[in-house]
Amino acid sequence: MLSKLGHCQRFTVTIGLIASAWLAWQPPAQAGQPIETHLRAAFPDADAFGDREGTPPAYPAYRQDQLIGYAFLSRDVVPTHGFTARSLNVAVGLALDAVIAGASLVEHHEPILVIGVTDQALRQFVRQYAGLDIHRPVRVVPLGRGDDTTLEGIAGATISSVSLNDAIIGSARAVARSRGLLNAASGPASAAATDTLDIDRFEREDWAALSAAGSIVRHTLRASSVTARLGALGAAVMPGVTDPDATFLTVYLALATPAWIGRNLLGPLYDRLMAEAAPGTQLVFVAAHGLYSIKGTAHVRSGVFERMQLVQGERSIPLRVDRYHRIDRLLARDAPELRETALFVLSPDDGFIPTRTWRLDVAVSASSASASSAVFSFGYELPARHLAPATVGSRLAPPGPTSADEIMPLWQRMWLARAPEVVVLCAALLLLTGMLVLQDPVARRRHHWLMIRIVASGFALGWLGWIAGAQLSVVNVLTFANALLTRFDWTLFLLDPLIFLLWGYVAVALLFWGRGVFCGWLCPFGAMQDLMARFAQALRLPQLRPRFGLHERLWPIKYIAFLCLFAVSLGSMDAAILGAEIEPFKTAISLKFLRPDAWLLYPTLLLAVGLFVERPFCRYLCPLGAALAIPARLRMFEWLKRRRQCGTECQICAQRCPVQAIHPDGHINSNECIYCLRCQTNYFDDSVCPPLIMRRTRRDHRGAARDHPELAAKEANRAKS
Amino acid sequence: MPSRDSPAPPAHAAMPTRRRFLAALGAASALGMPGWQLPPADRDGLRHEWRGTALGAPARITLHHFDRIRGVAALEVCRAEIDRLENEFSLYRADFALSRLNREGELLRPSLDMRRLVEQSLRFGAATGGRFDITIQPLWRLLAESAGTPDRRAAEAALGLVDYRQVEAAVGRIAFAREGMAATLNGIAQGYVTDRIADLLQDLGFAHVLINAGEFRAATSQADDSPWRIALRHPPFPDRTYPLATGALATSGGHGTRLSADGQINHLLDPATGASAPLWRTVTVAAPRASDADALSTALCLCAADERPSLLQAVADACAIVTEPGAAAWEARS
Repeated sequence: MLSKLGHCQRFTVTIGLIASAWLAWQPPAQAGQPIETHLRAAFPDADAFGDREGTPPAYPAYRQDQLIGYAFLSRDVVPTHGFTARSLNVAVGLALDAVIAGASLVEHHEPILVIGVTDQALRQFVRQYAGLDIHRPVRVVPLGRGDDTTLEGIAGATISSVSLNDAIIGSARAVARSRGLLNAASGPASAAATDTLDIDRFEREDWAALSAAGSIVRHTLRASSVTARLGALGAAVMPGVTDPDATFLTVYLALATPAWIGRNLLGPLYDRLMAEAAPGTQLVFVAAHGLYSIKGTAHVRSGVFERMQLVQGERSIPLRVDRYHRIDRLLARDAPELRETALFVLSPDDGFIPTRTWRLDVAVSASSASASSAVFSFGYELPARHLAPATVGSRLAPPGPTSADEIMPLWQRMWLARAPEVVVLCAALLLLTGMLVLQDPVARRRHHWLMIRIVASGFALGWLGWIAGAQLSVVNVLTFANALLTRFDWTLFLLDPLIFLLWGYVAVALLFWGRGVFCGWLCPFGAMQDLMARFAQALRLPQLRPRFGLHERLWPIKYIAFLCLFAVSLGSMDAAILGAEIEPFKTAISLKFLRPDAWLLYPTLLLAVGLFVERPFCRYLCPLGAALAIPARLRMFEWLKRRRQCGTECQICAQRCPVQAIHPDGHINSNECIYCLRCQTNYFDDSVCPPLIMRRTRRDHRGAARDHPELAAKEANRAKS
Repeated sequence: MPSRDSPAPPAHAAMPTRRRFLAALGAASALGMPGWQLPPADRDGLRHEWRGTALGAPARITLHHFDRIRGVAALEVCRAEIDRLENEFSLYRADFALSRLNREGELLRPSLDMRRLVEQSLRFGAATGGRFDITIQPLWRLLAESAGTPDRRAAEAALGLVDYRQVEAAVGRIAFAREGMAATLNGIAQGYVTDRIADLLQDLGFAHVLINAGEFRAATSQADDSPWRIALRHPPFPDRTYPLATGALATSGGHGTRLSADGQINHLLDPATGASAPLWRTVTVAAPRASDADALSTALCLCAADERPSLLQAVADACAIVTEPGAAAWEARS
């Protein structure tokens, strides 16, 4: 395989474009013997390679059974590069100190790379990467202008050099990040992160207000949890703990560096400590109340608190006695009774980054004599109000290529990672909006409308549902409500860009047009039912339409379902999630029917019924539809056109509405309407809508009378008699 | 489990490394068992998974949670935690805490985790009468560097440095009493990492978690109260599944990492004699905590058959399975 490939590449260079275009259709090199050869070329120091593993995938490289780094194929790590979907593949070796051990070109199918550039030059360029530290920014510059932070490009092929550089450095950084080889707490990153903390802003607040805002966080540890975890150690049960439901320990945490928190808590002590401290010093407030002392006694001799430590990401920060400051009195109004309080003055050397989440680990042991202990973790996240407003924006624009990913919050990384999906979704939503705005012209052309419906359903089911996994669910509503009631944090919802965008769009569309925009156009399960119903009707399966009286009385089921779920979610989210199985979404869409057989029964049943009754789930059972229908009462637009005769003289639209959302009196019930626009196609169709038919026949008659007066007279006579 | 008359291992058996062995075990558990493959805890919704390496071995964390976002965030926390503990316990880089201890003979202000793990290791050393000894590192390094054929005098000198009682573990300082001593936590650190991740996920509010960071640890049984099923690999015997409702499972065997070509010198070294564990003796221990299971399985690989019952008492609620070609399988509970 390898020799064939090498031969092909030489061939390419000689023949040029035609051959490379042909080569572009060849399958990429397969794993097996040749891979090992490439890995060896990329990592000459290694004597053995492990199996491909991890995300992104890489092959661990060993020398004498010691892990010395990773070798990987750039295409495995960063799938697309350059100008075509599959173009470049470079084998790269990366040592544990984040220095590139070697790089070797595996294949290039790119015409642009080939024109005027020899295979030799490409390979030579790639070889330059050996010994390069990927912590540093790496730029490619034209020949002859390089210095020690740059690489010299290939003569006449700067673009190719840049795309090779992207492939090598991009994949190496991704592998290094995932394996923790990049030093996260390097100087510039932590300095940049410290700058965003708003230290000076101050407003007087009491303990309750600080707690409510999340500036002080309170954690409760139950006796039962302690007993369970110590029991697993085979250690004795805590003495003095009898009631398992009793509170064993209440822990309070706060970052006291911002004046808003620190001065409210500590008063003048805060200002004194801040004045004396070097810039970059951080104050961490820890307090506890309960049956256990988190301070212990050994620290007096050892100089380190033996029962607790701070942890931030990959960094452990032992709490040293020389960082400890006693607090005589808490100044915050209505502060609770606290058995122990402590203030830790962390020096910049400790590497603590105030704007990032951190946690306090507390080791609990039954007696000080027995050393076996259980550890409990208590987290802290700085509320956004303590960040400097001017730099909140600059956090979005990362300063440099190396530190960008280190500082970038997780949600931003998620958005970047899913950028292609975000673009597709935005484009789709834009198209949908355009279609809704232009609904009259669309509805006038029944054939176009039908095409749009089928394509939209296919997109919603295939891409939105099964590929992108963006099925909205009533669970989202419940978690959102739950977050509003407890502690709301946008970043949590931002972590899934597609769900976030969809909800944003649905919320606005709800106010404009009602629940139908989601139910009829963006719901993957709705689309599945839609497509199946079309299929069933094409096969001329009998279609049942419940009598309107019965139909109307089945509507409330979904509202009751939603209200029950909502009520349950206030008590137990777990139970509500179980109840949300009334939605077949998880089985049919999220898990693509890959579930134990018993779970398949319900969605299959719904879909089977759906062959004979259109969208039975949407009409009667969907709690999400109910949740959307309630705020949709506020909707602003009435764009679905009706005629005076609707409901009085004619029931055609009501008969043809897929979800029977049109009352016998002719008005459209927007709580039920899925906004499929079928009634609008009728409205404009002069072969379906009776008032239009009448108008047309009258016009035809008039035309006929003008052309053939004798026929018209005969007709008129017959009508008279 | 293998029957008494199981065949001896074939001489031509491929030489698995410890990593490959673990990878195969993970793969077996992924393919063979529906409980691991499909979301067993549907009540807790979507399955979230992280794959990577922990202390040089493939690691996998699987959790079920209804909220995709919280699941992703929790796995990110786990990844950082693994990196953090690697900085403590691994010897791969010179600036890691354990490397510093070995180089300088002392470690000032060790992290809580380092102190707990060293203390636990020393306690375990005492409980096993020295069968488990973290100060085996000088001998290990010598054997690794000489591919299992060390100079005899050097080997004796290295063995002379092995004694866990010469480690002073205090709150503010961990130190060796003698020059040249060094420690390795390879026999227990994977278990410790597994335990920390399990506790951390529990503190973050996640149930129904299965962690494989070198050793297995289940946080709770599956939602329907059926246990997780883990593939036990005791080559050359056929695999079997082990039901793990809650708690940990660790497997050790001389065939995991070989230091000499024939495997007679391997990574499990007896601190008393310097001899290696029999190549095809495999021990699996189930215990509430992975670090205990990990250390006990290492110790059981090294001890004689008649010592096993007393050794097993070092860990409460433990269950051990020992297999070896040509000997009866041994299974007992403490």
